Amino acid sequence: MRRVRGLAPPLLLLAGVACVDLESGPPFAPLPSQPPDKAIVYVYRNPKFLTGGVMGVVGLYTDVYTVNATGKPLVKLLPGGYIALVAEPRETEFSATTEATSSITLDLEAGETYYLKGDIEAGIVRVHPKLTLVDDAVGASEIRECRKLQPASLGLDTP
Amino acid sequence: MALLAVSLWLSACTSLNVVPALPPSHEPPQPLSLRATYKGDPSHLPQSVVAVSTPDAPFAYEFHVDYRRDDLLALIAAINPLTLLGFPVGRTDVTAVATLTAREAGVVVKRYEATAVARQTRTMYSSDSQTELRARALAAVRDNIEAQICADAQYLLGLQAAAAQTVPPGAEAQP
Repeated sequence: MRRVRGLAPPLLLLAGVACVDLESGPPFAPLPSQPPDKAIVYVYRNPKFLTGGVMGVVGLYTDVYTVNATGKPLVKLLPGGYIALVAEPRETEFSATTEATSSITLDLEAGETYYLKGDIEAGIVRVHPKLTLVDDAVGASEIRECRKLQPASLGLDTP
Repeated sequence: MALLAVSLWLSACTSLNVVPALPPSHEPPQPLSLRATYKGDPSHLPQSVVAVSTPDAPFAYEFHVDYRRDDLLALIAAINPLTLLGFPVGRTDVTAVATLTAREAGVVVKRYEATAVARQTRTMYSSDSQTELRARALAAVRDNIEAQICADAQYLLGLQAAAAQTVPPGAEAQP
């Protein structure tokens, strides 16, 4: 019995997993044209696996987090959602914070397209965000399953 | 149990490997100010390099950063009791490669290169700052290139002097 108790907290991480589909927002469509002097960053999150509510060690929490670009809120990244950012070609940091922070800095170049994938990792009270730069082929394929999200800030160019 | 927890906790660490090995420290005979084409944050430039806007500058500095993540399967991490004690759940590698090329009459005559890999082993309790790893890797290659420049200062001073005689009018250093 004691052994079962010892295993209980990590097992709880899997309890309460639910599949939540993102029903709002139009399906993915690439930007019709790319400004030659700008970079495009697609930020997306797969609709698969640990989506929706996840039971943690302490209690029920959601796995939704906000992705920031250069410190400004860009999008509340729901599973199965995406947003396109038309950005200046320069060093740009993307980050997300729950009880832990995930951050990645990209050297954006004009005329280039980048795919930044959001995911989650197990945490104590909340899940940890995980931001990963993925290959174009992988990103272009996975993002097709996503739906467009509303931007979190009007200060960023998200067509 | 406490010992196990401490050892697992300590496994969440970062490391930095740089090649080539730093040459013995050399003080340049006089301060260098190599005019190089470069786009980006000036803080990533070696101390002896000055970014200029002219495309025909005798030097060029550039860097490239690659990210790589290796994650334990989420399911395994979730059911592994050791995860709560700080067992690693993944690893992040950030590789920075910087090059300084010297040209004479449009021909590359010298190339300095440095590679740094900043690695973090992540646990449930660590953050995932690829930005910080990138900064460490870029600082390492910058300092390594600077050391290579200082070790080769006499040669570079000669190149710089030769290039100065052919500086086109109007060429200005970037602020």
